[in-house]
Amino acid sequence: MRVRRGTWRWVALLGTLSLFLATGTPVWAAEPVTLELQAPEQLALGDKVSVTAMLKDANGSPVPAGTVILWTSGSFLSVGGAVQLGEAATDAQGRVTFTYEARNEGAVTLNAYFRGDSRYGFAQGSAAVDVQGSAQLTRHPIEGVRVPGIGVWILAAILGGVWSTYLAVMVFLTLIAREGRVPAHEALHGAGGRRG
Amino acid sequence: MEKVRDQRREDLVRTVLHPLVHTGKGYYMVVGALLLVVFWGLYAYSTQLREGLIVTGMRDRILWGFYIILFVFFIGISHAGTLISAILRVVKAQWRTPVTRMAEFITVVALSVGALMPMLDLGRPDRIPNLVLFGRWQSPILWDLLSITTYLTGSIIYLYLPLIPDLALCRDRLGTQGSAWKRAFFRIASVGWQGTARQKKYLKIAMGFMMVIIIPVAVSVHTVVSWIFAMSLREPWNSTVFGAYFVAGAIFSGIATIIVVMAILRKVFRLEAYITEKHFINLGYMLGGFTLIMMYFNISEYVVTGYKMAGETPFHFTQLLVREFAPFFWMYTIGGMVVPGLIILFPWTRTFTGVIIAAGFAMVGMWLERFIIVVAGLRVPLMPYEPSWYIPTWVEWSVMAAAFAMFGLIIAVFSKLVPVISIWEVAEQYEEEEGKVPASTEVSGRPPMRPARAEGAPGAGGGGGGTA
Repeated sequence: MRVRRGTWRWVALLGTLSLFLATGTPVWAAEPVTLELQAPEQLALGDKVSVTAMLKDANGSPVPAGTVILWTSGSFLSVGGAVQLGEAATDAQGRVTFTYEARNEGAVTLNAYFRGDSRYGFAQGSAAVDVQGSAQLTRHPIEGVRVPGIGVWILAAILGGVWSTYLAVMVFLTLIAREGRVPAHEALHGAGGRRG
Repeated sequence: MEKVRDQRREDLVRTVLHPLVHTGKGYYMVVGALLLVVFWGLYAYSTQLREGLIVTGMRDRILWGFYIILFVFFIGISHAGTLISAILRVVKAQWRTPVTRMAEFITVVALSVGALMPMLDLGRPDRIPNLVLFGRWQSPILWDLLSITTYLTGSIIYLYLPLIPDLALCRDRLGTQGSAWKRAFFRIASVGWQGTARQKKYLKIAMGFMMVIIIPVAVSVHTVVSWIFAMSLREPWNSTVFGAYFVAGAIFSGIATIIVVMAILRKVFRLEAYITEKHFINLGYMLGGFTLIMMYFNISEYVVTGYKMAGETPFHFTQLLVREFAPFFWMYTIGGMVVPGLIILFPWTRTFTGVIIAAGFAMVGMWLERFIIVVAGLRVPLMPYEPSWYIPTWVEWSVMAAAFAMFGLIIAVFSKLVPVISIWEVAEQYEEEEGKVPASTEVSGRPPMRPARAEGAPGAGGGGGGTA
């Protein structure tokens, strides 16, 4: 079947329109921006420093009122993930400042990103920080009281005792059942039972 | 004289066995209504499974709600059953005999319903096996799992052992009156009980073991339940008396439940001749005693923490005594403890009806107590954030209604399956009263009644009882 050329035009137009509607924001309309993160390269454990992010457009002009999120990687109880450290909007100079406290020693990568808005596109930046020190400043709760000699085994012993009693009761139940297999008249008279 | 004695026992058997073979229209209506509520609860739970815990009122700040309240409530009820039964057996209280079976059965039913609640509280019930597979010995949740399964097993055994002679009686007396599966059930479950001397001896030893072991097991279970709270870093739960407080509360609410359930079954099955007002008054005395114990624990708890007013206590006390939780707290304190205590205290209110009213107040009060412990405890902020609030949704209300309906439903079904009164024990009590057998003879076998093996035995299951 031959399709008319005008039909294809309509299909292309509707397709583009639906794509436009589906994505919400036409990506080609966003202006490119850069996000530069500035942080001291060397820090001592426990230092509190300012970390600054600069958001600029393609011409190097500051982008004000852009929301910037600062994050780093972290782990808690062996579950790793991104830890958000702060969120703030850029000022008239396209600048946003966060306070960062170095709590863990070693190499730390600080990351920031600008999600983009109706005018500007997505941008991200990062800065490597080397934290030096000999102790962790994150607090670990003190362990509870430990009574020498009392551990899991005592729980197991108590439970074992209770279940052994149940088992003993089951044995008596088996004996009752075995006794019941004997014909009633024998059981009652032979075993000296009393029929009430 | 002998004839009168036999007649008395025959009446007992007829009345108690009657509900097993005669079922009225009202029974089916009640069971149907309960089933409807249970199905509605299942539908609500399926909504929760489909859409997640977001359909409940629980959020990250108040993360426990009705399910955990019901868990503590039902586990509490379960304690009284076994404890009352075991303690009364151990001290050989004569009046216990018509009460113990119901108490033991309430234990098993309440424990089964209560144990379901934490599972409903999980957003991902498929992860329940992880509790066993990856459980940590240091976790009170694992202790809870172990203690509840141990207690449930023990309670089932403890319910079953004294049932054996009565099951044998059903096997022998009901004959063809029951359905085929019921007859098979009686035959298998009575494990060939003939009432021989050896069988009696074995049963006596087994029951002796169980009545002693079940008391510490029951106490440990509610202590461990309290530790789920007391071992968490929450200001209102920082208490060293929580274990004892929970055990006392459990027995208190359990006695109240036994009184209410017993009153219903007594009325429905027309057991007035066996469960007399005396039994209610005696249980009322126990209820009154535990009212005093509960008051003591409450005073001890609140006066000590209130005197120090450390940490978040001022916030907790304000919300409890004069702000958000004040209506619940005062309803619990006055309605749940003072009113039942006063009803039992005065001779003119300490009547059959009075005891039932006191028990009703106590039950509602103890549910509110659990609500206060769980929700008010979690509402105290751990960090400087705005205190949250818990508003249960229709899903939680429905599941709660279904839980109570299931409790009633299982009791209704049980009452049609086995005698709700321990016939052989009551018969034995008759013997002791008549001075026929020395008091030391604990376990008799087949009750001293006409041993008719009885298709068509006169009166077997006929007459005497109500058609419920």
